[in-house]
Amino acid sequence: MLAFLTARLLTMIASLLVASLVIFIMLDLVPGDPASLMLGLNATPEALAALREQLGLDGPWPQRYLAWIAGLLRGDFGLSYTYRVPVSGLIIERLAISLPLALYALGLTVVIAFPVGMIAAATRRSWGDVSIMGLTQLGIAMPNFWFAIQLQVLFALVLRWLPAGSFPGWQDGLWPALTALTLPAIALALPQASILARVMRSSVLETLHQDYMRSARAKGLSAAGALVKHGLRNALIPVLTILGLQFAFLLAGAIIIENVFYLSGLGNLVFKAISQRDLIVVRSCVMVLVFAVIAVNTLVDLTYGLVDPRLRKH
Amino acid sequence: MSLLDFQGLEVAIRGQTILRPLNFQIQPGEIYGLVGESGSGKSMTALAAMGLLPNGSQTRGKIELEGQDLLALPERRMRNLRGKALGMIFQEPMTALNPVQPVGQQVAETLLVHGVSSKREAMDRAGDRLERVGLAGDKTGLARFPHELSGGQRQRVCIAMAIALRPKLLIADEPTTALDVSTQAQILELLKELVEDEGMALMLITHDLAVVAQMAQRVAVMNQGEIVEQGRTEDVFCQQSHPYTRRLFAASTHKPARAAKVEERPVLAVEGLSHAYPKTRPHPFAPRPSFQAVDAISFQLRQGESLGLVGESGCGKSTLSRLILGLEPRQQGNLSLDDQSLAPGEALGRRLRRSLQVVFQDPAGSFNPRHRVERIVAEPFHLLDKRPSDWRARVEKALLAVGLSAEDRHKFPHEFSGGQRQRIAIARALIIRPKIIVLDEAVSALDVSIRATILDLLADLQREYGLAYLFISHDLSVVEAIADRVMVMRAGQIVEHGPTADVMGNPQHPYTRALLAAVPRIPDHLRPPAQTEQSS
Repeated sequence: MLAFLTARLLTMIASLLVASLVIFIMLDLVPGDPASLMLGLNATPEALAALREQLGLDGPWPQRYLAWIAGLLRGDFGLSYTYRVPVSGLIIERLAISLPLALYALGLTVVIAFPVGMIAAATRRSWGDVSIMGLTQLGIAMPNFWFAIQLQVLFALVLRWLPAGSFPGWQDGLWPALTALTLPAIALALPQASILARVMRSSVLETLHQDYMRSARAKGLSAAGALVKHGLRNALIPVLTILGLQFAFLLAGAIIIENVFYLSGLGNLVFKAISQRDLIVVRSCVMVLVFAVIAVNTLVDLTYGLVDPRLRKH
Repeated sequence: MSLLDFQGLEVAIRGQTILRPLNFQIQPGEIYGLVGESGSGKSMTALAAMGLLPNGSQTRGKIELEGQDLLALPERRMRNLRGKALGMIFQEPMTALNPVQPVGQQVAETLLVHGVSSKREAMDRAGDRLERVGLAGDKTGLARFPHELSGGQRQRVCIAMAIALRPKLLIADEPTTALDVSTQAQILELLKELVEDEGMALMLITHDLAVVAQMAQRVAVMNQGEIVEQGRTEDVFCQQSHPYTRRLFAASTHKPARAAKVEERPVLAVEGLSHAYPKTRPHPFAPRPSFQAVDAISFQLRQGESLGLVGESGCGKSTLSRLILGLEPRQQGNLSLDDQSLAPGEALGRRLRRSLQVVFQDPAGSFNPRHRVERIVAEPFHLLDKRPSDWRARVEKALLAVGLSAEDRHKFPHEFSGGQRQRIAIARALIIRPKIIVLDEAVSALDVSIRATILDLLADLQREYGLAYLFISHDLSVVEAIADRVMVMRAGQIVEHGPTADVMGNPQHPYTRALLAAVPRIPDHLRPPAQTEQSS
């Protein structure tokens, strides 16, 4: 188990190093002057020189790369060119919305998809299964911004249960913050839950035909008991894989939903930084997202080991 | 009163009749054998008694357990009987256990489902039961996962699970078919002991007449959903009053008429062949350990000869065949094929590959299901520089040679039975007239009667084309029937090698002796008088 853990952590560190190198090369080493790219055509030579110095573009690239990495490790991401504030502060501010939103949406995804997928599998080819599968098809096909608008109309304008948008911050306590995130989380979660429910269904269906399910029935377990006690855990591996990918998407890909609900999350920050050519912010955000994705994938790998003892050896 | 009484049981699945009226009784404490070939309805009979028939099954008649009709019980009451009064074990121990749960918990679950003990007590009793079936029942033993156990050990866990509540009847569906002979002998011995000690009855389902002969007091022979003959084992075995019973017995002891002309010239010679597989490292920085699968093996195969290779699973038979076929690069040792010698690492090349073909165990798995038979059989032609212009005629000829019709070339593999598919595999191997065919467990998955016809076919083809066979099998009786010489393999090495009659009749190595002793045989007093004379 210790060997499994070390191996996974080493893989994670190696992936992070490779990713940081790729990001550095793509944004820093490509032909052309990043400073003039950021400032545009009408930049004065003085402004260009100042920015070059700020970006540290003068030294040889390995030195610049190491300086960047050392900064990242200290939590110093540099100064944003457009906002003139430390990038780390910007990112933390945005993560305070994006991370809880992603986790909230992920939680909803699991809570919806697991039972729905299992019920569909257990009642396969019945009207219940067919209608569930039809609904999930709809959930995948429907654009989530359209769905988000429908949610706003129904729950904010007509029923007035939940706020239609914007985020009050965490300083007023948990409740107002959570209510503000509820509609966006639902809008994000439903398409993901539809995908996950379908994966869950086919994965559970596969376990239903396994010999150990028959053994469980021969012991005296009911069909439902065998499904929950023996089928579920065996069905989890493909589901976990999808779940890991979904978290990465929810963290970085929520930009449209953030815009619909007037939330200034990480997606929003990246989008604005790209349109303002603020490469320092772009580079840092991409690195944070890469770190999140790799960390989640490592977590998924470790969970595989928890779920399936056969995977602990490798 | 009988323990289990089948009264006119009929089963149909979606309108198709699976079991015709079945009538038989199992007495308390007896071992009752149910024999027949695949598709005869043996397993359905067992599942009907367990109330676990597939969805969409309709039943008629009665199955009475101590006077209580099981078919009339609601599912909730049936659930109380499963695991408690009726235990069942299945054929495939590798997949019959939940791979993600420790075995102790799986055995304890039988007790917990029926609410007979607390969690801690259940674990204690699971330990006892595991010890009863010959496994460690301490904390480490209980915490082991199925993948840490061998096939035989897993079947022991399944047995412990089934007998945890001392059921009145244990149903064993082909419990040893997937196991090696020596493991089979141990499991059969364990089952016999359990029946005696615990006073339970055993319904033993098997295709193997010799296993029934050793175990059962009474036996029923099934064919196409019907019991064609039943009675005391001696009576059924000695009298064989039904023609199907006679056919089954004849097929199981069938020896093909062979008239092979063995030439002196070897077509295949291997010398000092070795192969090691890398294993996983114990920790990320450790040197990679390896497993010696094949260890310095040398032998020759002559033209027109059948060479048998026997050994238990994991002994390296399959690795050896993969090395010869060039499916695995040779790390060490020379191979000479058709007088051309190849150094380690040197690939076979298309010309040499032409003289070497293979037939695998699973006829269903070795064809692309989306190809028609014509394309499947014609596949080896890409070993030639150009596909011959008369390739269609050659495909037809090959199909005719293996007893199929020329029209079959337009069909897909799923339209054939297992035996027919194996004929297609043989046709594919024959099509470019190889000198050698490697038969890797080629008849192991077939029923005895189909196996007999395939063995005859192989003998005929050998005579006609002067083929050399390397016949790899875990089944000693088949090798005895077809091989001129036999090699016994153990842990990567050949421990004994010689003419079949010598090795089988007068084994020198203790391992060969143990292997032969473990093979179930029909004892002489259970053979009809005529057959006893023949075999002696």
